Amino acid sequence: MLIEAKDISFGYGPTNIFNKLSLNINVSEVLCILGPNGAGKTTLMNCLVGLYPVKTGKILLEGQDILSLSPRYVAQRIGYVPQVIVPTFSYSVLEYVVTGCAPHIGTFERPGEEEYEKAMAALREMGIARLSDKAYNEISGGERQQASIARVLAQKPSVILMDEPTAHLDYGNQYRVLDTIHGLKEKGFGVVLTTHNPDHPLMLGGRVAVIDREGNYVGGTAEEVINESFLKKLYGVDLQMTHVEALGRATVLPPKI
Amino acid sequence: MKKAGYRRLIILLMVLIIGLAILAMCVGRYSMNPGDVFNVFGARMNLCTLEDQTMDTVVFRIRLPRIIAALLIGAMLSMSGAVYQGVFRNPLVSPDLLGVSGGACVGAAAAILLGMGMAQRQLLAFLGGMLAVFLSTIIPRILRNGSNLMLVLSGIIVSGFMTSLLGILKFVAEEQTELSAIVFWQMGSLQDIKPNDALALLPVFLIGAGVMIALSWRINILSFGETEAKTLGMNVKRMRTVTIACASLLTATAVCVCGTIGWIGLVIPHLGRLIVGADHTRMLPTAGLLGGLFLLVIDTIARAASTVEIPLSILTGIIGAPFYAWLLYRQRARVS
Repeated sequence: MLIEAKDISFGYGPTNIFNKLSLNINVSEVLCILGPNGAGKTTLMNCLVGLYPVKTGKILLEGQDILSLSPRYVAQRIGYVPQVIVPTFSYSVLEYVVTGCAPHIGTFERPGEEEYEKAMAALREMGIARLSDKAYNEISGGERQQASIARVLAQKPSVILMDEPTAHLDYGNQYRVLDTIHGLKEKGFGVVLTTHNPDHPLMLGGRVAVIDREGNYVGGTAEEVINESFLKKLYGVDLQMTHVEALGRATVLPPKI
Repeated sequence: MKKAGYRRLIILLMVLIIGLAILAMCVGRYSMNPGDVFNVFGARMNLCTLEDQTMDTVVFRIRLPRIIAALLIGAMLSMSGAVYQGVFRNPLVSPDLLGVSGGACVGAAAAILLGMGMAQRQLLAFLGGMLAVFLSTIIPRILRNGSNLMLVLSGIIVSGFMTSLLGILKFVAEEQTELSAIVFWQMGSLQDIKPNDALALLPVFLIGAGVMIALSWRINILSFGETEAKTLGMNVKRMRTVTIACASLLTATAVCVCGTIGWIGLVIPHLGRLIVGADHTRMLPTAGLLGGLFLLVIDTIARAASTVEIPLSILTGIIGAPFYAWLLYRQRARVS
């Protein structure tokens, strides 16, 4: 077990965003965090990575309390892909990706040949080596998402957390990112992502963690948790589920307008 | 830019600096030719004899200290400007963001009103500058909001407050002597530089610039924002504190020696980024060299262009503002 959250609660004020939530993240497994706008998906993610201290309960990283560990130690094990940001300054894609090596070198050290080679390898793995000298803030949104994933590969963590990796991407790039996520799982990473699309967990075939606006939490495999009545309760819309023979899985469709 | 290209650029800038420094030693009210300058240095090393001791005095007591001070102060201001812009993720930020200049002006003006000499004036200016930074950093802590924006806002508050304090001091100052001294100081000048001042700058510069360059790659990461820096394993608070402290120390030291000089800390980092790219490991040393070069040119014009000294801020503004416009024109695609 890579990350284990036990009975965690968190809230910015006196009311909690989620209460007594427990979940695990394992090797070679995808966990989708699902929930409507404002339910606290990103907040939960930030707690799992140790950015926010939980109010109650504990988050264990490989058995140790995450809040007792140094940021560097945590960063060597958990990689975080935030929602795409555009840096103020135009770093090249390679300069951006090489920062993934930061937790592995000393504070006063700089990346050398070895680190740049690791960054290039990560870019090749994502198939975007040709972008290495391009300015990061001038490439497309899809390419930026790929560069961010390349950076997390250069970081060499065991768990990768992604905050809405498909947001702001066109349909083709959404699919490509999901395909990449599937590939990461196959390589042995534990992957956690937040998403707005209930189809994603069905597609990726992992487990889901659902939080709603009241802070209620449901967890389980995608097939167990996701059904029509559950989705209606969560989103307040009559979503339809159909089994698609060609895909060999169920899929979620919006109701007739 | 490839590694070899960067190395060539650094060497080119160093050669330019040395060449311009020799040129700057020649020009002035007592003019010399480069041969004279070499003779002066030769005589000091007992390689030749000097017929006219005046030359030795002019070079070693007046021009060389001033040239060294101009190079160091130019480098200090532009490097701390670059660090502030990186840490605050804002290319519009200049080193006096946290009120360093305002605080230093109040300190210097107070010393002028109290009839203190140059040394005390510098000391009070330094204390004023550091006090302003201290106030700017304490406000977000009182309000329990550690965000960058809060720090910028409290910098504006402190700067505004210092401007008003300075206004009071100017208002009560005696017009003929004290007020003109304050105004002249505010516009910046290197004319009162003593050899000791130039030497005193050196250790501060070495420590501040050394730490900033050692951490320059981490500044790249800081410039992605707090969340990213933290998840890359950085102790953001500590890193931000150390880099801002170094940049403020350099700015306060520069300002207390020569008064406030505008534009350098804002414009030179942009020029550096245009030449070597955004990566701070290259941009910081480049900005330092460019800043030194720029202030050396400006200061030489300031003392040699006319019979009276021209305040530095007048020249940096006249040259820097159109230059900044040109830089923005070059980068227009990247500014939104």
